[in-house]
Amino acid sequence: MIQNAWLIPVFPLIAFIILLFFGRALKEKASYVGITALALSFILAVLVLFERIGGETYTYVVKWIGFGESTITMGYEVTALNAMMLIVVTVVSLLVHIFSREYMREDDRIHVFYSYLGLFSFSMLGLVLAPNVLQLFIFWELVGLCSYLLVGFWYFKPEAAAAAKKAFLTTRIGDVGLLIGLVLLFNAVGSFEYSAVYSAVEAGLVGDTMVTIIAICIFLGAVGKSAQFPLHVWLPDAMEGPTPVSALIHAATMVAAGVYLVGVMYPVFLASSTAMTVVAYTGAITAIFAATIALVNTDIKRILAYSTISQLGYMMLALGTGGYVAGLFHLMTHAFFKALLFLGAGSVIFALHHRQDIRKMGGLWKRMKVTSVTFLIGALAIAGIFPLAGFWSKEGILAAAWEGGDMFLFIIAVVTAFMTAFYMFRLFFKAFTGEFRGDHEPHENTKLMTIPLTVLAILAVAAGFVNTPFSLGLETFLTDGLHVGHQAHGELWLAVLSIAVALAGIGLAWAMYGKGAIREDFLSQKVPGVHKLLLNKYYLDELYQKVFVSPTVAIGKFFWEVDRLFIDGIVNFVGRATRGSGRAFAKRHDGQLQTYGLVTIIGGLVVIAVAFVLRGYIG
Amino acid sequence: MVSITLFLALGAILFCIGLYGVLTRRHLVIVLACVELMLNAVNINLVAFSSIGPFANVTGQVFTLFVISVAAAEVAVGLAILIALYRNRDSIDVIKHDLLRW
Amino acid sequence: MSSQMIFFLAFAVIAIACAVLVVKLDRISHRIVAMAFNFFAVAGLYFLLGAEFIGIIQIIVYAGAVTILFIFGMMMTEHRHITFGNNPRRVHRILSLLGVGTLLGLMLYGILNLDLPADNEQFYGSAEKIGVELYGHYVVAFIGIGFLLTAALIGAIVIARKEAK
Repeated sequence: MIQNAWLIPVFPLIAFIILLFFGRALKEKASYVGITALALSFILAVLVLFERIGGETYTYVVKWIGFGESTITMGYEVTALNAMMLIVVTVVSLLVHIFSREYMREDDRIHVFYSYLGLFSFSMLGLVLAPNVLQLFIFWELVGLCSYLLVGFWYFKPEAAAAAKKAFLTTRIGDVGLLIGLVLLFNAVGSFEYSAVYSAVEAGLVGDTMVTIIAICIFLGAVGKSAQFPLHVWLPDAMEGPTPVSALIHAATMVAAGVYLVGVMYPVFLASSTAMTVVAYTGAITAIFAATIALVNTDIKRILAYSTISQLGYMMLALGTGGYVAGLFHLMTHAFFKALLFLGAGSVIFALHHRQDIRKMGGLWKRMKVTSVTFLIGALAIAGIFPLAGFWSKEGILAAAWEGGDMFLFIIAVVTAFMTAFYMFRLFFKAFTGEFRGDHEPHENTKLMTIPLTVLAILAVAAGFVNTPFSLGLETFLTDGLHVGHQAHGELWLAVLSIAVALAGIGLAWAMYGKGAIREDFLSQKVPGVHKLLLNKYYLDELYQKVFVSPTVAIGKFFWEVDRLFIDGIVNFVGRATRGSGRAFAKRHDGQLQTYGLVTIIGGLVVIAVAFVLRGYIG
Repeated sequence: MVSITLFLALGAILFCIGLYGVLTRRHLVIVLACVELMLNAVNINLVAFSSIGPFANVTGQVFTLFVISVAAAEVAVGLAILIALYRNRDSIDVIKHDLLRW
Repeated sequence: MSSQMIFFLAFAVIAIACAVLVVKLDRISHRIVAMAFNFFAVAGLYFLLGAEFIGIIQIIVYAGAVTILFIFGMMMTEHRHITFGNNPRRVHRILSLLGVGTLLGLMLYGILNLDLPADNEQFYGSAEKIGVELYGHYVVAFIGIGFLLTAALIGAIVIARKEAK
């Protein structure tokens, strides 16, 4: 079965092609095509995972291009990490496909939506299965394209169009870094194959400085894709896309591709302590930075978006401090509970007729039972409450940060854990408890929406048990045959600290938004400057606008003028000269046959005369 | 025997007279007649080479026959066009037929 | 001066004079008569060259058929008002004269400088020889000419007939 792993991305591709040609005719039946394809992929992914657990890494490559002594291959590979990612991607994608059936029901372009989803699933699965960095890069760009298409799905909304453009351009900055990194890597190693890269780096064939440069360039790509500081600005805006898209692409899968990239290139990072420090610090800064913004935001999807950024920073932090398994484990659990939270938010938004402001919600607990319960499970999971999935993975990250030895990073990790619990439960209490403050009475959604939520809630509870300190299933699985260094494991006090911090955050949120013991505008009253800074997202968008966007636009305008006046001027001059001379000579074309004859004869005579002179017959 | 050079010179002279007529006469029938003169001049060359040229043989005379046939066809069609033209545009003046203008 | 030379000069002078008359005479009918005489003179030259068959064909086709055709053409068009008013194209005529004159000069220069072997054996093109060549070597071209003449015949009728109202 593992030999047929290549079929996993092919099913969504077939769905995409079918919908491309027959989508208009199928209309909302298009969803069945997508769901069937993803279900097949999921089943196959499960079979592949089981076979991989008992077996070996399977690689199949064919030669694609050869030049000199180097060859570039194409193919697919099932490693432990791939097998895990396949499950994550197919599960979330399948559930999102089902959920969208209801969510996008009234959209005229639902078949387009499903074709994009299919293309995305194909690209993401292809990215995961890639056996070399070049192929990964190709799919990397494809998922970027799908993200662009889906964020801008409602392109008639100016914000959505702008957000799509922003997402595309911002990630492009990181992608340039990644491409440079890949070229340098190929130059240094002579191959794109993961195995060749690993062995070359581990044998020390690449110089220290070079390894650092390569690792940091590759990390740049991850920074763009995984919305790490300072390239995170696109992700909150990307929430303009449909909510299922946010759940699939901008929470569970595509943004995690950056973390996956670092994971896959982990030996390269391990070879350079500088690069590891860069990764750890970028992750830490992103984690706390995004968490602080999430504290004050009032848009349900944007809070979740900042939460995503923060959690991705957490994974980077783990990877940067040597917690290879912790980071990837958190990637998996996060995919489940963040997809759950996003789909829950989607359910709320759908019930409220596309209102996203949490100040206009409240009291949903009584009105939307399933959504509320599953959302609560997701919130508890992300807060890290025992024994939910988030607890196990977050504890692993804290352990890695502790054993990394950098107190600063550890404190940031703990503070972020506190903030995470706080803002998630601020969201929960505001939206689901108290009085309903909206103007349109919501009702629980149909089974098509609640079943995916339930499945994800079960996963958010259960996914953590694959890697507990008592049975390190995932760790053994992932690290088998890889040299990724020692993996930290939490001790009891760390678990207690983690739960205590989470409970403190939940308690504070309850005190402020549940019980009302502390005034809600506490922060804005006491320190209005800080509150304003957070509300405006540290003014980073404005800063980028002034420093990067405006000068670029100005330069563009300048060159446009040069083009218009100078280059177009030359072209227009040539055009006018041709037309003018044509007009002048047209006057000589007077219809007199005898004139034509005369001119012909004189012309012939001139030719003869020239020939005579040149041949020397005359003169 | 008369030298071939004289026949060739005669052909050239007739040809040039015909050409001058084609270029300057304004009556279409005469223009056509001058074309016939030019064809005749060519025929003189062909027959002269065929009879007293360096490699005298029958080919030149066969070609003369072809030229005569083509000339006959040309005159027939040319005069037909000319009559149609005259009927439609009521003029036989070359200068007035300038529809091939810009 | 041999008798052949005398005949040649006579025919040549007639041919050139008639050609000039074709260009220079006033009345169209006179021009066509001059053209006919030109054809006769050329036919005489053919006899002189020993190409009797071509000479006879020349008289039948050119001096006979083509001339009659021209007379018909003349009669069916405007032929009384032979003047078209003032000729506005003085420069054109001068340039034509100069151009054609130069061309003639060049050709005569070339012909007179030709280094052709003199006193070749004369070839007498009998009808038999021409027939053998025409129906042997050139039979495809001969059939092609047949098609051409048919096409010209039909075409001339189609073009010249009055259009049905």
